[in-house]
Amino acid sequence: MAQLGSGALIVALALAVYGIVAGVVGARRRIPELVESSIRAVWGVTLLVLVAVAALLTAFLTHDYRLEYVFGRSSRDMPVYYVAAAFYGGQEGSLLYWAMIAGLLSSLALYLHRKRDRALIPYVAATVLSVETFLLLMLTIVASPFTLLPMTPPDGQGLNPLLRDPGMILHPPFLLGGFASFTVPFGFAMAALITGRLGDDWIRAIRRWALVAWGILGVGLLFGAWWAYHVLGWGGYWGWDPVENVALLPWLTATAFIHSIIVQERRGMLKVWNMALIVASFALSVFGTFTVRSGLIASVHSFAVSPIGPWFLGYLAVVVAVSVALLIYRLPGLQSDRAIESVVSRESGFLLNNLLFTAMAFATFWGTVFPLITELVRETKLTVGPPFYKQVNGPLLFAMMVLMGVGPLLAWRRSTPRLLLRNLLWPGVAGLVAGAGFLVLAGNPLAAASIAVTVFAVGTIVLEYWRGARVRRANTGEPYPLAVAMLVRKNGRRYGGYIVHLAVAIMAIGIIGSSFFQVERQFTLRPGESGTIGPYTLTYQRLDNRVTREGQQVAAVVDIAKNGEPRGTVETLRFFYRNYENQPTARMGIKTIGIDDVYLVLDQWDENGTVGLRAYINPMVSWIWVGGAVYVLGMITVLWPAPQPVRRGATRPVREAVLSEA
Amino acid sequence: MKRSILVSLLLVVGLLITPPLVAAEEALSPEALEIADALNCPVCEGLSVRDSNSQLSQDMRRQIQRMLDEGKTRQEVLDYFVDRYGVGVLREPPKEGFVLTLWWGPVIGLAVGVVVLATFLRQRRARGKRAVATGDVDEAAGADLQAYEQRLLREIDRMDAPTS
Repeated sequence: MAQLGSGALIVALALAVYGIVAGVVGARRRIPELVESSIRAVWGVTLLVLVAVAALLTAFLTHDYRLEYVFGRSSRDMPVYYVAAAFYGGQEGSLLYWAMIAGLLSSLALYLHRKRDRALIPYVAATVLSVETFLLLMLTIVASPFTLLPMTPPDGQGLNPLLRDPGMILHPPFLLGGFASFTVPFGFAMAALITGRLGDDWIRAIRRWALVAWGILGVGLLFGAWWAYHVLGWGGYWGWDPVENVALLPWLTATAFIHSIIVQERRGMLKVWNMALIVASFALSVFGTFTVRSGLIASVHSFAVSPIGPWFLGYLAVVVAVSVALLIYRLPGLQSDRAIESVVSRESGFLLNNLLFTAMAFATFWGTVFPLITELVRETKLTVGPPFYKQVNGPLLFAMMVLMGVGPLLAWRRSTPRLLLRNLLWPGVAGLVAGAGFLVLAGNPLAAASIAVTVFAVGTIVLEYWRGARVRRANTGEPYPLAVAMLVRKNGRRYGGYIVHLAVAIMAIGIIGSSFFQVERQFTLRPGESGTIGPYTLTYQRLDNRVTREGQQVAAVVDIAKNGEPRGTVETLRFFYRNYENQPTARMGIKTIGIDDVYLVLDQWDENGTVGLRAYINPMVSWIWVGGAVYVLGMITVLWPAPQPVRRGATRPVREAVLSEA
Repeated sequence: MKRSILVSLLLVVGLLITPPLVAAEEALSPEALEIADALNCPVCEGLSVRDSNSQLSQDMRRQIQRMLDEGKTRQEVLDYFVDRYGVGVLREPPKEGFVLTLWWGPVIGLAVGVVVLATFLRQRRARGKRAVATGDVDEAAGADLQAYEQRLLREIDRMDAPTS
């Protein structure tokens, strides 16, 4: 298996290098056969990477502990799904997975675009292959997953306990997949810059792929939050931890991009800026990948531990240098076609959106790398914790919500203030009423203001749907429900976008609820005793000590009652895995009752069964997960191929191949 | 999302053989909890003393409560830990000295962004003024809801079609 895998990777490396040369020479000398062969090289490389993936998976599933990577990350007592998930439990496997996703999506993109975007394709292939070349180089000489041990150990060491959780089966593949997906838009951006074909072709091609990457990364972040909430046991889902931050960065720049690209499509503006955003998203993905696995940020000193760090840093420098050089070279070709006509217009709304998102990305980046700077410059260790991000990003998020409410009501080119105000009236009133009502009920001005802007933003979405449906109804005579459905179906981009906005608003409610109104209490309970938190009574039943295949579990069984009425039983668990006894992990006991999550952490226990429990009431957290589902729904709506545009009355040539258009 | 919270629970290892035994007694006042939340667990990655389960954090929590019971102020407690573990123990870096660059960084970044945006808008508008004379400004004409709906109809009609 090891030979097969490492062999496949070496052949893939050679093929990738060949493909780059073939693509560039083919495009320069106009030899279609060479270009075709470069496209096939991408497919070939992907196939070979898949062979390597299959080899590694087989090694895991057959417990081939001759492989150092398999030995270090799995053991015979692990359930088969964790054995398979151990695949990306380390640096080497993660890189291989990255290479696989980048290869698969690039292959698909090349297949779909090879006819339409003939001029761009050779350079897309070459760029994608250059990314693959770097990854394969790492996989063959620096961090090979197929390194053999001198002997075959009877059993492996097992997977890091923190990774043994259902959330971890889903979170890394989506997050790494999201990072890797930015390879495709990056490839198109580079191709556009190299060929100088900066017109509409590349936008059409790139938008969809940028959305794919943005969507996958977003799902990855959500799964990460879900995992943290269930496993880490501090009652929260997002800790502004450096590793979380670097994963958020490309998502922020990509969000800016998917908004500002609309301006370029409609008005031919912001070409340089969009290019820069897509390059930044890719570069930040590379930065994220290597920060997650190298331990760069936690301390400068752990930098030396990972041999891959300097390579990634070097690669990042090359990516940024080449992109910036190309951008400067093509600046004249990236001039705007049109000009901004009014400050009160959809265009400037999008510009403001971009300002806010880049500001947030910058602030997050700055806070994340600042300890690194102080350690280098001042030799003091510093922690930039959640308070910094809350104070800096909080106001930015607030402004984003306001803009999310105003933006969709702005007209392109210019808005008449009177009409705008009229449009803002009802959402504004709804927001104010909700905010005022909330203030009276909960008495927290900051939370009330946040609620107000969130309701305002939702109001705008409702208004947009209602207006659209009314217009459709007036024109087609469809009843309202059908009109709404047709609206979404025919204008997936616009109305799917609003679904994503709605998802953001739902999540915002969850975030407001849980960050302003969390209640915490600590209890020391003997079996049979109970404690109260808010309207909930927690009755501690017993401590279970279980021996499992993988190690040992300690579970505190707690009955929950609300206002005296029993609402069920939860277990809050501690796990001690074999070989990792000094790294116990946990799974929280969480019971969702109405809008509240009752969240139990098992802190301590003694031989009499007395336990130290920490209990939280986390209001509205479940809304974050609901928002996540709506986010996925909106993303799919946006990506769903639009039906062929059929004009009312007007006869127009039917457009072909809709898939790559929207 | 590596977060090796529990590095220092070495003590528990020994306790594994017999079921773990730790004094479960730990009552903290709200003020002590708040202070614990402002401190970084020195042996964990990214967890506060309040959230961490490490032995050191437990000791630190007890220490905080003890100091508060002795009548020490919040600032005195924080200073005590800064003396022992360095300024890195604070989750919110102090707004003084070199660390001010951290706090001002995003503000300056945002200000630069605003200036760039403003210049961009002014330049564009200056150029746009000339374009308006020749261009067709259709959307500005009507100022009532009917015009808005007509515009909406136009927009939803062409939104998903590739723009020319």
